[in-house]
Amino acid sequence: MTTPVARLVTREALLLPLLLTAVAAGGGFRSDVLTGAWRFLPPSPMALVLGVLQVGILIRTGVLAPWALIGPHRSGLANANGAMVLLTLLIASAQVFTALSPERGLLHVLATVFFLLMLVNTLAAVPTRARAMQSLGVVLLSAFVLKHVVLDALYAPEGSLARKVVTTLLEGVSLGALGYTAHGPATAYVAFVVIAAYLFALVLLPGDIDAGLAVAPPRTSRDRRIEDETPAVAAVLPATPSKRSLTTTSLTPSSDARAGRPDPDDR
Amino acid sequence: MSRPDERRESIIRGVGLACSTAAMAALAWLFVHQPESLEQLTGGVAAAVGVYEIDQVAFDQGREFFRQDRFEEARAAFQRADPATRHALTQFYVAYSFYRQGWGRVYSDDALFAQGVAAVDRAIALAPGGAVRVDDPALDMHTTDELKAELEQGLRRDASDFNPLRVLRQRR
Repeated sequence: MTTPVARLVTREALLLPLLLTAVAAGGGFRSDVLTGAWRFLPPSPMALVLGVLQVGILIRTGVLAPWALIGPHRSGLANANGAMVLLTLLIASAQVFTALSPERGLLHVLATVFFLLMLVNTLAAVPTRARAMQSLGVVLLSAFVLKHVVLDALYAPEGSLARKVVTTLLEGVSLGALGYTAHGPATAYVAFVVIAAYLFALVLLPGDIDAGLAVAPPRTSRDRRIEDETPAVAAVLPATPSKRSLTTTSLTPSSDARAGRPDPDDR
Repeated sequence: MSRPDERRESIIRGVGLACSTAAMAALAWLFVHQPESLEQLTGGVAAAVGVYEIDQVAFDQGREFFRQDRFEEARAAFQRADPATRHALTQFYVAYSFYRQGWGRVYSDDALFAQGVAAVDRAIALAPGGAVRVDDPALDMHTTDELKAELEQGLRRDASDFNPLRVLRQRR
């Protein structure tokens, strides 16, 4: 069972659902800063909305090809596996935002609005697969540092006098609306593993290349210019799903593609 | 793909579906039961498959402390007996120990009574019929219903709190 097909089946049926379920469980994990007691937060409705947007972005950017998981060309069992991957991906995406958002207060609202705007912006920009992954990694790690390093240190109960003065001032300025609660150190470690596992799972998802089916990406101005200037190439374009071949054929004298290094992921 | 390969793929897919369904069920269990420690997590899993057992020696020791009105020692023993807080009878005794320790002739200790309500709620949730009945002659209240009512009465603020005859009532 070492054929590529067998590996793909194992990845889709076993590895991805279990990894994403672990992310979903870890995303809701919190440990109390004083007693160390655990809590497992389920995804809130807003986190589910963010999760849906996140899955939409993954599809739009080619990180995930849903037709590689579900479709009439697959057997019932294979479709059930695919549906399970999509379901666990949705819950895991929602739980990643749960892990990185404060649970209540003004900071929770601010974090939710930030994530919402970031996702809508990414959805509108439709970056390439590689850039979407880079952007997501930067956003998740930044949010991790802000919540689990900065805020947890600021609100730690054993903080110094200066820290207590700063938090008291912050609470006073916000009329007590911030309402942040620090967590035990285990929470930060689990959240870090959750982010790493989530990004790893996204890499494992069947994308456009794995699906063997070309996505119809939105044509860029460069593509349109190529079509206008080289009718012969333009005639070939719809039949060439590979982006690599698109880059090769775009090296015409009138194209500006020569100016920069050809990037296979650049649309 | 050849027939053996197809068969192997079906097996992998079937096993994967079963495992991922079980993992989703475990995730739902986690969100519903909210284990607070590794002991509660493992004990909860053991209880879910019907193999959870308390430490009977520690439980008996806890009851002995309880009868001697040594409630903190009793609760420590009950904690050893039922680390996962999955045994209804043990939780009933824990709640009763909070009641007896927090009871006062003039006023009751709200913090202890609140912990008693939490423990009796756990006992009710764990009991098969939603109620625990204990035939222990050392107890005056034998059911979770009586114990919960008494604990909630102690937490309530009303006009009867100012009745001077309250000092004549007995601890149950």
